[in-house]
Amino acid sequence: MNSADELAVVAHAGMLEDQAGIPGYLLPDPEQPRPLGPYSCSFCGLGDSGFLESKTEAAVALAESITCGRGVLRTTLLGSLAELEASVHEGGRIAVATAVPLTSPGGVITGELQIQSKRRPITLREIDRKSAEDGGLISQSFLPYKGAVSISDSAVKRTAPTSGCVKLKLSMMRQRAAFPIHVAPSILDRAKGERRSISYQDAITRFADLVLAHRRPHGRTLIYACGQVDYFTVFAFQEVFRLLGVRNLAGNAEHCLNAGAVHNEMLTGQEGPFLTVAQGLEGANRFYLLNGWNGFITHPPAFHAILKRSDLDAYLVEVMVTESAKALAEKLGPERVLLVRPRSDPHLALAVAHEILSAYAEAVDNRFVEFFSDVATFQGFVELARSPRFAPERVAERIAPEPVYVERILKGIRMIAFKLTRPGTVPINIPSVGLSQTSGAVAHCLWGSVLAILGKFGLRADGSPAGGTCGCQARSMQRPRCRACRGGALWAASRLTTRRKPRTGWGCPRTPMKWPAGTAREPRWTTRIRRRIHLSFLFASEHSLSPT
Amino acid sequence: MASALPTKHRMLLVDDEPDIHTVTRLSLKGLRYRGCPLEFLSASTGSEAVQVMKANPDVAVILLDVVMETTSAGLDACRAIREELGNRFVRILLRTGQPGVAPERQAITQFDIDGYLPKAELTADRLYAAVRTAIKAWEELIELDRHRRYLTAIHECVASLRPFEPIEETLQRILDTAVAICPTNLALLHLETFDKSADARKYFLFVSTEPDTVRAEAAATELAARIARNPGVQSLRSAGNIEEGFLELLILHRELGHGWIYLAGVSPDELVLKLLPMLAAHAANALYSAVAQAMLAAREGPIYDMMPI
Repeated sequence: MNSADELAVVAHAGMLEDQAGIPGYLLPDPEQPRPLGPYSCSFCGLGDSGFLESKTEAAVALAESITCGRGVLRTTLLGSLAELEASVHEGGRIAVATAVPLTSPGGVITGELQIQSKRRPITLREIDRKSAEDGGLISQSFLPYKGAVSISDSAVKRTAPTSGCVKLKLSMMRQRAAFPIHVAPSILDRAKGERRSISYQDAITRFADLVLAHRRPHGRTLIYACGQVDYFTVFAFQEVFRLLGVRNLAGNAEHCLNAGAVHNEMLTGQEGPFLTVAQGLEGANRFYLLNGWNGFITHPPAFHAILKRSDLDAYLVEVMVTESAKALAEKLGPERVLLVRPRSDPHLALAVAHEILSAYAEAVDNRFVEFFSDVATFQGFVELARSPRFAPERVAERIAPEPVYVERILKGIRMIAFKLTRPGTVPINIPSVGLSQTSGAVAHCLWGSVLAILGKFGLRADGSPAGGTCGCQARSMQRPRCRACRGGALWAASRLTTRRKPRTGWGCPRTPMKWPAGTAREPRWTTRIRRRIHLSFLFASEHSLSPT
Repeated sequence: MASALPTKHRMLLVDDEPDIHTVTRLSLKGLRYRGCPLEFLSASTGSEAVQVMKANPDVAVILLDVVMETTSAGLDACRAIREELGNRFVRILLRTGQPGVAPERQAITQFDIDGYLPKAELTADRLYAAVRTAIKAWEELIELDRHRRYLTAIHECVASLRPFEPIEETLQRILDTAVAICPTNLALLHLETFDKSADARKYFLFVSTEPDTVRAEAAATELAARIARNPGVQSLRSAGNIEEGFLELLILHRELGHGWIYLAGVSPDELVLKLLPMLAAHAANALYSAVAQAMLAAREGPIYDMMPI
């Protein structure tokens, strides 16, 4: 039996060939100016985006044109300065009287041309020479080099959720990768036999169309992807599958995430401060914020370890009733599953921040903010979270998929804020991959910011976790640490506006910790601070939040 | 680009005896160096020799008699060629039938000659060997001089690059130097720089011998587009042939910027193939400094926090 008769098969997209460099088809078409407007990072879960703005100056001539006339050419001839009669003709041709060749045929000379009193440096290329009947040279003709320079500036404005991750630079061709990579999705133009790049959004749309076109109305869908599934593809899969309600194991491809994570680390030199799986799953007082994580399917060992806890305290934010949602509802009750509209989870996180800042302002850890964060971004985050549109009541109404869930979401927001602010609580955020990828803001980044304002991000001085993001989205338990994500976008390059230099030695077991002079007490927490890495508060700008 | 070396070697025979001209031509008829034949020029007096040299400074070898219109006509011609015409390259072989007039040691010491061939002792084989050796030496001198001139051009360019000057001026100097050592009718320079926030600035320069500025710009833009589309450009790790021309990469730092110099329609010889990367390396260093300087100038905070390294 021909399996193709039974199975809907998407045509093979073509192999992505190994690259010795970034191929031309991934480069912006020089004949068409790079389109301005929104750009999204094609690499990973942060989903950085920004708006490209551009300005091009008209070409400016490198030198004034030469006027016709007779004059003098000064140049070096056989090691000494020579002054030679020169006449400039229409079209710029310059005839120089000389019995000795100033250059080999077609060669270039440099010198100074003086017409009347005006002198100018000049570079000339020989185009012709005249000889007398006896073969003696009479003159050489030259053409001057003329040229122009044009300068174009382009800026990426309003980047979010971070202030400009290096991967956004890579994906926008604004930085060369350390080694060849496919920096953008591409499709094979079968008619021309060439590849051409497409946008991240286009790639997802095309993939979704393909899945829909091949999906049977009431049947199950099997997606089998083989070969070198790249990092982008993992996220594209997740996004499409999630939106279409397709169960999948694509995220279980440990190879993809790990390879992608290592890949990114090699490319960018960044390293994310993640809680290990063990730190996330073991220990007392854990409070789990499961954000779109269907761990029942994608990471059964971690999910069941969590579910088996006798002191389990968790909320799951989801856009549909997943296996994990059912399991958690069965264990803790349906109110622990917060069903929200797609891409609205950042709003939920900001509503929790709003509640904390309004009802538990004393819980804000100002010392953490002062010493480990970029105060300017923190203030921006606070300003945004405090705005009336993120009041829990309004958010609950806005993000509830059906009116019946409004009350549950409102209670959830308040309860999460309450639990987070309890001194002993160790919040563990486990995000999914894929959710919110196209909206620019990634919820687990915002959750990271919520934890950070409480000082519950990273490790305490004794090495125990204060809270944070646990990278077990879809990974094997054997790996102690996931580096696929970068710590919820909290870790960004230090900003110029930062008043203090980062405390580079703190939290590193090899470096004795020094507390600033005048500090009254020992820190009760610490975290990993790396060279030139500083905590930058994430706040979703208007464009990065979905218009939910 | 073709080598600066000639495809035939010119030799000037200077003697007042016509038979000597004939015999010499016969003796050297089959001489070839690097596969290139000899071309003979003739003069029968010292002053005529000087005139021929004035019109043909690319003569490689002179076989110069001493006693012609005067007893020192050959020596006088030698002095004029070296000092008045300033030709330091031509190899002068003194050929005399009267060694007493210009003894070998004295002639070599006082006059800048490169060989002494007494006619009485001169066999066809010895003449052949002497001329061939002289041509070889002349070629090496020419090549050394070209090397010196190109290195001087690069040195002068590098010495003139200042990180605090506008980058476009730096780029123009680099491009001018590139065409000076590798002549072409169209040369392009593309540079894209980045700052910490992924803002980018793109510089595009061209120089052309096309008199019509509009056509020159159109040709340069079209060529730049073809190069940018060429997958080979991004694959290049070093210089290489692209689109019937030669492309040299300018690698500043992957976070700071990158670019290329393109020389249309050239195929650089061995010397230029060595010198263009040298120019590019110096240019990249200077541009790195210039771009970093611009970033430092724009800084608002501590310097070392901001340096992308």
